[in-house]
Amino acid sequence: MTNARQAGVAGSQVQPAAKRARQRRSAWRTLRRNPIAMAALVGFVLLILAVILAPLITPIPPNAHDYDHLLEPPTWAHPFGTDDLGRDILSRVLWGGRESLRVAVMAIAVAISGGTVVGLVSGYFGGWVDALIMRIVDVLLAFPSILLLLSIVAALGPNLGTVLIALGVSAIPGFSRLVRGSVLAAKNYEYVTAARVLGASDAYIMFTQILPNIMPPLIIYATVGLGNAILITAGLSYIGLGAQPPSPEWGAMLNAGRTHLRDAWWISVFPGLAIFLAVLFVNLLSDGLRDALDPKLRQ
Amino acid sequence: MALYVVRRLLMLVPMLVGISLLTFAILQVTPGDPAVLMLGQYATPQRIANLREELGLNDPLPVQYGRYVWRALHGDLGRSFRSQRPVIEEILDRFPSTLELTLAALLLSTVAGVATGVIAATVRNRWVDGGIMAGALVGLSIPEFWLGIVLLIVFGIKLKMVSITGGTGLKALILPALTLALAPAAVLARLTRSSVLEVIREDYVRTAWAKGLAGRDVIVSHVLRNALIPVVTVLGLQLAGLLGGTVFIENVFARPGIGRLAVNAIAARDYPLIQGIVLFTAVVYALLNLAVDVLYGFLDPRIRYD
Amino acid sequence: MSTIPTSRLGHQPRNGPPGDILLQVEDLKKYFPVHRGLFRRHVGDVRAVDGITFDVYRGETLGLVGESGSGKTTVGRTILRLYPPTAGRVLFEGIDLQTLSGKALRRARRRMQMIFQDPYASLNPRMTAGAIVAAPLIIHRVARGREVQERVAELLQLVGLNPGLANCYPHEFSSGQRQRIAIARALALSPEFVVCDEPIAALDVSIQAQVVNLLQSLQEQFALTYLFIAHDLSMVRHISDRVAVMYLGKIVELTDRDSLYTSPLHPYTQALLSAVPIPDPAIERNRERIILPGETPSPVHPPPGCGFHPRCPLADAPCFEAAPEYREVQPGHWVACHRVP
Repeated sequence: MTNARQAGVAGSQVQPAAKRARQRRSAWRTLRRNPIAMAALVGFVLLILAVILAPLITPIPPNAHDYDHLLEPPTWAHPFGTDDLGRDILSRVLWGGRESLRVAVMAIAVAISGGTVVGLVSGYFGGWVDALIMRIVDVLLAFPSILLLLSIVAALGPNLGTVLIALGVSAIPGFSRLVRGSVLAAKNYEYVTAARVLGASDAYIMFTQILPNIMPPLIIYATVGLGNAILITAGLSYIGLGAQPPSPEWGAMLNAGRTHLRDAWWISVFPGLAIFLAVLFVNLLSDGLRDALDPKLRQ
Repeated sequence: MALYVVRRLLMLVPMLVGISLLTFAILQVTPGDPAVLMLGQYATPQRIANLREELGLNDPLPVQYGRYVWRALHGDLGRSFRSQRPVIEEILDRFPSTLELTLAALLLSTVAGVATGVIAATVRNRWVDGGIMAGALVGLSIPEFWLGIVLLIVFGIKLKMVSITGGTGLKALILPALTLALAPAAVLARLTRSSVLEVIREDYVRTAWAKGLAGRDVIVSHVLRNALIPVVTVLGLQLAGLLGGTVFIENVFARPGIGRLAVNAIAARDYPLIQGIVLFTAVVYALLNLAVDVLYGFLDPRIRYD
Repeated sequence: MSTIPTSRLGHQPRNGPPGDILLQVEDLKKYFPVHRGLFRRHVGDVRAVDGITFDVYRGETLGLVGESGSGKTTVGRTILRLYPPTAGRVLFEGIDLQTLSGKALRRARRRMQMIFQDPYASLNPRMTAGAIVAAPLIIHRVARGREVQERVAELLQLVGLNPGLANCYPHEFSSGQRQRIAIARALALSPEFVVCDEPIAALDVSIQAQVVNLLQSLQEQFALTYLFIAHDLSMVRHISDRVAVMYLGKIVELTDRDSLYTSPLHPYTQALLSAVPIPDPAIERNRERIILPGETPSPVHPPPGCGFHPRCPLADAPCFEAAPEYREVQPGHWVACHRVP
């Protein structure tokens, strides 16, 4: 109040962007001081960039056959070698990453959105809605998720779109339970009561008062889920239930390389390495986020 | 205790209802007529109509579901479209192989995971700890089917130590079990380590040290007994992960198990077989889980059965 | 606390004529069911509020005093419809709040606000002070864009905070400042009635007086009506026009402030008053303290008859059998006790 003008200027700076930036600053600072997590973040971003910029990195189309160079081991022209149709493995690994990573990321997005809506509704409204939803979730979590996954793939037919839906849907129960638990804790906070006194609608309270406070566990859970989703996407394609030939999806490449295990190890080794690196980066990042967002879990 | 077992058995009922609805739904949401799928697209309309009548496909859905459950309760899971054999026979033929692989991997992962976890937590050497934890993270991140392929290339093709076309017996079990056990062992190592570190900080452990007990005695008698409780708790979850893993591993190592049967059934659109496998596996998993819980109750007197 | 501003003397509310009733509470009950077992059987009720009746006059401060567990907080929250009442009515300007829903309820909420006990818990840690004060304006769409910022700055200034601190987060403020933010939020919609739920109980003693003074000056400025909840009589003495004393979900005595402090009728009020320190060493040394035996009974199984009889020094035969009637023994002086003539 000593300087009204200054105060007025400062008062008009209540901007959502500045607000959000400030919230995340301390978690971000912890994360930035963690060299392993930062290396993993950089690695994952580079991997995504490489996959997106695939046409710029390698001039050879992923499905271009070259019958003069069949089953060639790694050379300068083909750093990862070629397969039995003379296709460049490097190109295929880069283009295939688009499929694998896109499906995994979108599946997790489906799981987060579905789980958040279900968990919010269940936890916030409680009563018989909550009881019903949680009974269903309990049943779905009571048997191995691979069964739900295979059932959906079986019903909808084996292809990459089905894998996306199956992965997303089968992860919804887990996310729902996580979100519901956090909502149950958050909805009894006094500031949520304060918002109700103000006459805030249920939607306002759920999305502005409760949701921001349940983000940390959700983010940690989502990164764990992402690593898993990458593994399962590739795995299902590998056993022939996901991407179908001639797709360069990583798991599908491994499947195609099966017949040449004896004479061309490079067909199988490089796509597998790509899956491994992607999952490793995600898991390292997940560990780092856990330390940064949830200091209680820190050892 | 008996009451607890009964109540846990009762809790299986909603799960079984859920899984039966799910497996029943597989056939309902899938496009196409099951009778056409069975007979092929060149069958006469008359034959298809007869088969539809025979399979009861013209009845209302609740009737079909009721019949499905009734038959399943009597062990009748229908006939495979492809082989025309009873589904239950197909499954029971393959089940021992999967069970053998799963239990071997469970044993391996538990022993290896707990041992490395305890070592990482108790050895006062940050290189050992760091190495084990890095190894665990790699174990978590490595695609198991790819690891299987690499192991096959190295041991089957380069070193010619194992056959790459499947086979039976203990020798054929080693590589698949190792591959399957790696990820759960990594999970257990991480869990055991943090659990042991937590227990070591407890007052009763400090008291034990203060009493002058030898290091190994404290670790074994005071720390491990309590640190292993969460490890036992996740056994059920581990089992679920292992069952999921067999789907991939059996295909890599060409093992004649249920996972491979499931993949072939899905590829062939052999719906009765798919339904049967899902139902059967869920029931087996639920029973194994129940066994784990009862065992857990014996181990930890703190569990209350109400 | 002995120096009372002259303007506060007398029990006449300063704003508006006496008898202008803003809020009527009629036989209000709030039970919380207790469930037990696998099938969540209903095994009993916590009778948090067990049939209370009182009026709040426009412009006055009604103090509501009781020990923890007496149901005083539940009264405030049930009035604001944070809980649906089990029985009874709450009339705000003659309108039964229970009949309102949707839009009408939201509109009514603008006129009734609340200040909470713990300014750490009642402010969202992920929102800035400015955003917290702006929330009511945005929820009710009473201001937009620049207007919001101006109104927020105005409100912060009103409660004695530098509007330049609007970008700070709650954890960057002291507890007194936090309570000021909560007050600014409560006033943003220009309410008529404010439930102050132990607003100073969580504050340092040195800050309590500042916040009470702020609440008083805001009351004068905006003709506010307060229901001021507190857990001991010394806290409400300064600010209240009338005081109600609660015990085990019921009001045992309600009268104007001076009568209550000088000639309390209910034995429970007398016991409470005897525990209030008197800032005169001579009197303090010689005064008689009434120590109540035992503890407050559980509101799940309240004692039969008068709820206070197990601890009452005056309890007699009728007290064990029938609950005393809540009656007006002198004009404006209500009490529920068999032993009061």
